[in-house]
Amino acid sequence: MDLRSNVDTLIDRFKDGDKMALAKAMTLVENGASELVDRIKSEKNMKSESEPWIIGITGAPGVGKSTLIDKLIDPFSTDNKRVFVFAVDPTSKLSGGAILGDRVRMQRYATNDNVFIRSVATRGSNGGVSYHLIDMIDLALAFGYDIVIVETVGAGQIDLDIFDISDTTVLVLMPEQGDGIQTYKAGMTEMADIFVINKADKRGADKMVEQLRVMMSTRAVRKWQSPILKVISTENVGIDILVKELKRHRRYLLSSKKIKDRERLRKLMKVKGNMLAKFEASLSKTLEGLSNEELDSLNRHEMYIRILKNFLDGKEGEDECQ
Amino acid sequence: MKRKLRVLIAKPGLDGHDRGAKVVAHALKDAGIEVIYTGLRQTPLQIVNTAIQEDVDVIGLSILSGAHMRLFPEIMKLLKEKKTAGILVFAGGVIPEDDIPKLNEIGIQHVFTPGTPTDEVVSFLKNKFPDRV
Ligand SMILES: Nc1nc2c(ncn2[C@@H]2O[C@H](COP(=O)(O)OP(=O)(O)O)[C@@H](O)[C@H]2O)c(=O)[nH]1
Ligand SMILES: [Mg+2]
Repeated sequence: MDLRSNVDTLIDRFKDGDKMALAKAMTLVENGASELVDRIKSEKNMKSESEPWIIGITGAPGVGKSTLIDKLIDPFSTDNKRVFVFAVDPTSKLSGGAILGDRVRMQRYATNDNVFIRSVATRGSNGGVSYHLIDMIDLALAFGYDIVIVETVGAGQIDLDIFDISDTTVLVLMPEQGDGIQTYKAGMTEMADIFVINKADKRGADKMVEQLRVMMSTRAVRKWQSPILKVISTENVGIDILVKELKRHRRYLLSSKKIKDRERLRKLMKVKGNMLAKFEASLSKTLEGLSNEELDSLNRHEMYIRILKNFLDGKEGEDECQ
Repeated sequence: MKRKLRVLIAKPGLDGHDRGAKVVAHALKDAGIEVIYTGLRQTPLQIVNTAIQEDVDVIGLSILSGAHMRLFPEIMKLLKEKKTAGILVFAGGVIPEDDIPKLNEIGIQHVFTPGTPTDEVVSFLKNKFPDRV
């Protein structure tokens, strides 16, 4: 029997803590079945004593994000926390396929009951994360994971980005990285809660710290001053301090009530992501369905009306999950 | 919108390199498939747990070390125990012709022998999942 086509059984098994049911629910939701999240949340008693914590780890390919997360899982899971990792990688624009290889660096946890790793392709979205990622995060939390870590290549436009999704975002850099921090959009360094200079075993780490400090000094004084940490992920150096700083940021969010702002932003982004996915699918269908004659004869306005009408009728681009 | 095909490319055993597995992974990606890659030296339990977490439709096992007759049955047994009904398993790497019938018998749908062009792997999957690739 395919659990994916038997939603009642799927939900029952999800409530019983069956990981296979969680994985299959993730697939459904990733393909647009957002209602499933609402159903599960309404039926399952959510653990209310602990606030969720969503940590974003972002940075260019190769800076060591996956290696860093591998080292981060340990201190969190020995804290008796259950950790869920989403490893997001880009979908090839050309083929629509993807190679999702982040978990190579974390495979020692494949047999750890308190750790669940799921690879996610960005698919249609251009914001560096998948449209349905927030729904998937909600599933992980509903299942009982305490900490969700999201790895993403933060190359997306600031459209639907990791900063909107995470409570705490870590920007990972490394020495001798291209043109250094200048390559990052101002927004990106503006928004990072913690900077990690990874591969601090390589030359140029101190210079990079210095560059960042200079940059930070021009930014308005805030309650939270984003720390700059040197880390060597491969040798587990600096991880303890990073964990301390992560927890300090978390306390700051909780005490300043900023955590509620982040939650609100996340809810907004979820609606936005769902809508964008549905609209994009509908739009493509409508465009494909236009004849050459229509393309020449319809004016802009008529075209828009056609697109919106098809979208509202919901006939086109309906998400199909089987 | 069709559900994207998800394929796990896994390397069981003590092989020292994974060039072949990576070539296949790239070919599948170019065919529009989402490929999850495990890296080297995976135990049967790691592979099966990964397949469950990633909810893959297919597992491709790549092996060079000659330990397939020991490791593949273990993997198939675990898949059965964990009731992962419906995952299609294929294999490739250095596997003698003589072993293939035995492997088919334990549920490995297809074994690609060394030198198989990657196109063949792609068309094999296209055949099995006509509306998904
Ligand atoms: N020298 C050095 N190499 C590292 C360090 N952290 C990660 N690496 C290496 O950098 C490469 C890319 O790491 P990965 O975690 O896959 O990067 P990601 O693409 O950002 O996830 C791998 O070969 C790692 O072993 C570090 O602290 N020092
Ligand atoms: Mg990575």
